[in-house]
Amino acid sequence: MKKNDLLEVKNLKTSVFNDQRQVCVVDDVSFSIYENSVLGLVGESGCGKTMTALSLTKLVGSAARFEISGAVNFNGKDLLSAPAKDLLRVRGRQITYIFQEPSTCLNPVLTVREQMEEVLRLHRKDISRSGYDKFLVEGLEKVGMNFAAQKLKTYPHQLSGGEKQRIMIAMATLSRPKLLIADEPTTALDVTIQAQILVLLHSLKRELGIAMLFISHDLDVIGEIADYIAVMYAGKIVEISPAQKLLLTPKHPYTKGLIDCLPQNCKDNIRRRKVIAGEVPRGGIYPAGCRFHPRCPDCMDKCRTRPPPVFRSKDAEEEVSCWLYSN
Amino acid sequence: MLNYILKRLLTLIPLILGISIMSFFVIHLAPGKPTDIRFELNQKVSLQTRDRLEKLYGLDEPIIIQYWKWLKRLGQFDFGRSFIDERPVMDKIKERIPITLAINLVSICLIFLIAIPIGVFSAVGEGKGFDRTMTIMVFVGFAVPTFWLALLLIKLFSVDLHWLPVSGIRSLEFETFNFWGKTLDYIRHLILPIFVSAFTSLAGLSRYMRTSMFEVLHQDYIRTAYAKGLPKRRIYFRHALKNAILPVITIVGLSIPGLIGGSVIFEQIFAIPGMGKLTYDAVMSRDYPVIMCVLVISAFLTLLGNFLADIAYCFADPRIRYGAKKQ
Amino acid sequence: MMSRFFNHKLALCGLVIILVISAFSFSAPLICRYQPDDIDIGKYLMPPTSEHWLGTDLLGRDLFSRIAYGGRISLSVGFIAVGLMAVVGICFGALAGYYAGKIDELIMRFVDIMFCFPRFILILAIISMLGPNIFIVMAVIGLTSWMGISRLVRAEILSLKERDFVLAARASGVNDFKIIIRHLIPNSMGPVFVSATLGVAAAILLESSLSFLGLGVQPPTPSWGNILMDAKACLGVAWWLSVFPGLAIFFTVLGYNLLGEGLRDLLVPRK
Repeated sequence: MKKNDLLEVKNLKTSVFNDQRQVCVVDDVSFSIYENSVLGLVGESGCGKTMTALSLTKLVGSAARFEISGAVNFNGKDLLSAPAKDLLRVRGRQITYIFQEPSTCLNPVLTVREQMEEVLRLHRKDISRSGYDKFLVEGLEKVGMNFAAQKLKTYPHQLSGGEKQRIMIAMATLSRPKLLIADEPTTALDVTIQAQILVLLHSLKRELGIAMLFISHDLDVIGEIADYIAVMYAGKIVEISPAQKLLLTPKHPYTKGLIDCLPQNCKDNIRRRKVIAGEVPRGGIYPAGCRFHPRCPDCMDKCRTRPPPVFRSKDAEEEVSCWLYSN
Repeated sequence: MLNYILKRLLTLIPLILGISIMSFFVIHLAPGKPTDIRFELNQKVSLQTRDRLEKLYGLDEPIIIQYWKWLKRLGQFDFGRSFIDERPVMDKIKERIPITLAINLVSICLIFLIAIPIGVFSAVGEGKGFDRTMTIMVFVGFAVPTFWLALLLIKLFSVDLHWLPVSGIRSLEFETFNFWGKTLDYIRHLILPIFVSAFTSLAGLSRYMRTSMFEVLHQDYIRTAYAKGLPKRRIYFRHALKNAILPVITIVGLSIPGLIGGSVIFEQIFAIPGMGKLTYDAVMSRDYPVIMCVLVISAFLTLLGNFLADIAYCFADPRIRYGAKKQ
Repeated sequence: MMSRFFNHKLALCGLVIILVISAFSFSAPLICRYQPDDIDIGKYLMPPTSEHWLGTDLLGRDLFSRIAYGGRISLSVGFIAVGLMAVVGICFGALAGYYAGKIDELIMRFVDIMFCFPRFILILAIISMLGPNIFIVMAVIGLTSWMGISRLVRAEILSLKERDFVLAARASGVNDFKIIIRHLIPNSMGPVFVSATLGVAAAILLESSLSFLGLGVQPPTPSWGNILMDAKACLGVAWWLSVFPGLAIFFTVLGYNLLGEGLRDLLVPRK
C-alpha cells in the first residue's frame, strides 16, 4: 500500500544555546509521517525526541535561544523557511501539540473555557460565537469528559491529571488538525488513566483521520499505537521500520537493547531484567564514530571512528544506521 | 476562603501585641532617668521632659501596670497631647495624613503604571538593548539617594530654570486662582515630590516584575500557548502577565514601610505639611507623644497593608480562591 | 571560583569602585592638602580651582578633604552597622533553625514584629529618645536590619542540619554549640555574604539620609550626608557642594550593590 506523505522532515538539525555554548540536540534527522498513520518516536530521555517535535514548528524558541536548519515539508510548504505569519496559521491549526505534564501545561489563572475558546476564536472562524458553548461541550464529551458543561467553568487545579490531559487533547483537536504531535502524553499519568488516554488517541486517529507523531520512552506504549517506529539515540535516528517489523526483528543493537528491557521479555525470574549498560551522552558531547559504540555489545573497530551511514532495505521500508548492515 | 481570612486575622493578634510591646520599650529609652548617663548638655530640660512623660505614661508605676495602661490607651487611640502646643496628638495626625496619603497613592499608581511595562518588556527581550538599558537604570535607581535627587531636581527645575516652585504645596496667590489654576498649582508643586517618592520603588518593582515575568515565560503553559498558534502579544499580555502580576500584589503591601519612611525625607525637603514633616518636626523638638503615635500608627498601617495585600492575592489567584473550598 | 568572579563584569566593576573609594577615603591624610575642619572665611564658596579641587563650602573649608574624611565616617558607619546586623542576624537565625520548636516560633514572631515597623520611622523614634550621635546611629542601623539575615540563616540551617555531616557530628557527641559554630554557620554563609554586601549599601544610604536630616553624624564631624545638609542652604550659588558628595554616595552604594548582585550570581545557587 503506497502512502502519501503528510509531513517530510529532511536533515533537521537543531542547536540550542546554553550558557554561551552551542549544543546540537537534534542532528541530521530525516523521516516522514504519512496521512492517517502514527509514527512512534522512541528513545531514552535526553536523546532529543522532544526537541525534534518542537523543532517541526519552531516551537523551541519559547524555551531557549536556538538555531534550526534543514527542511520540514508540510502540505508542500517548508515550515522552517516560511514567514512567521504563515507558520502561525499552521501551528495550532493544522499541527497541534499535547505535552507530557498536563498539570503544568494548562494556564493556572485562566478557566478551561477561556483556554479552549481561544483556539476557536483563532482557528475556527466558521463557528459563530453563540455556538461556542455547545461546541466546547461536545468537544469535551468527545474526549470522554464527564460533566463537560461544569468542567468548562473550572480552573485547571480543580481537575485531576487525567482530566487535564483530556482537556489538552480536546483543545488539540478543536481546530481539526491534520497532524497531532503527542509528546509523552501518558508518562505523567496513572497506569489505568494511561490506558484510557491511549484508547482515546487511537479512536481520534480512526474516527477523525488525524495523523500523529507519538513520542515516548516506552516501547510498550508506542507498540500499541504506532504504525511506524523511529528509534532515536543521542540526537540521531538510528532505525525506522514498520512497527511490527521493528518489534519482531529489530536491527540496530540499541533497538534490540530497548526491546530486551521490556518486562515481558524477561520471563524467567533467575535472569535479571536486562539493561543497556552506560548512559546517554549528555550536554551535546558525543563520542566519535557511531554515537552508540561505547554502549554497544557488537562494537567493531570502524564503529569507533566512522559514523555509520543509513542503510535501507530493498523495499525501502526499513532504515538502519549501523555498520553491521553494511553489505 | 472565609476560613483563610479568619485564620489570617488571628495571626494579627500576636503581632499587634508585639508592636505594642516594642513601642512600649522604645518609650523607655526616653531620657531623664537620674541614673542614666546622657549625652544631653541640659540635664534640666531632660528632667522636665521626664516629668511630663511620667505623667503621661505613669512611668513611676510598676512595669506591668504601665504596660496595661499603655495598651488601654492604644485601644482607644489616645496618644495624649503634644508637648509643643498641647493639642491632642490624634488631631494633629488626622489633619496631616490626607496629603501624605494622597502623594503616596499617586506615586504607587505611577510606580505600577511605569514599572510593570518596563518589567514585561525587559523580560520579553532578555539580554537585548532595552533590557540592558533598564538593568543599568535599575542599578542607578537603587544607588541614588532620594534626598540628593530631590536637591538636584530643585536646583535644576526651580532654582535655575524657574519652571517649578521650590517648596510647599500651593502658591501664595492660590486663593485667587480658578479651579483649573488651582489644579495646575497643585500639580506644579507636587510633581517633584511625587517623582522623588516614586523613584526608588520604581527601580525595585521593575526589577521584581522582570524576574517574575521571566520565570513565567519559561513555564510549560506558555509553550502550550505558543503551540496553539497564539500571537506573541496575546501570549505576553494574557497568558504570561496574568500570572506574573500575582506576586506583585503582595509587593504593594511590602512597599508601605519604605513609602512612609520616604515621606519624612521628601516632605522635609519640599516643605510639604504632611505626616512626614510632622514626624521630622516632632523628632527635632523631642515631641515624644507625637513620635510614639507616628511609630505605632505607621506599624499598624504596615500590618494592615500586608494583610490587605495578602487577601487581595488570595482573591486574585484562582488556585487559592477555589482551593480552600474543595478541601 | 575566582576566575568566575573575575569574569563577572558587574561584580568586578563593583569591586573596583569600592576599592577606589575606600583607598581614597582611608588615605585621606596623605592626599589632602587641608584638614576637613580648617576654616578660611576669606575663601568661602569658591568653585573648584587648582587650589581647592572641588571648591570650598560656606566656611571656606576644602570640599575635597571633607568628602575624603567624610568617606571614612560613612564607610565605617556602614561597615560597623552591617557587622552588628550580621552578628545579631546569624545568632537569632542559627538558634531558631537549630532548636526549632518554641524557640524558633518565638524568634520568628519577633522577626515579624520588627518587620512591621517602617525602619526609618523606628530609627527616628529611637534616635529622638537617645539623641543623635555617631555610635548610636551605627547601633540603631545595625539593630533594625538583622531580620532578613536571620530568616536566611534559619532556612539554610533547617536544611543543613539533616545532612550527613551534621548527623555524624551529633552522633559522635559533639555539643550543640560546636555544631552550630563549626558546621552549620560556615556552611550557610553564602546568602549571608550577599545580604551583608547589599546591607553595606543600604546602611550607607540610611546614614546619609539621617545625617542629611541632621539626625545622624553631627557636625563638625563631616559625613557625606551632613555635607549635603549644608549644601541645601547654598543650592542656588554653589552647585559643587551638592553634586560631589552626592556622587560619592551614589558610586559607593552602586559599588556595593553591583558586588552584592555579582556575589549572588556566584554564591547562591538558583533553583
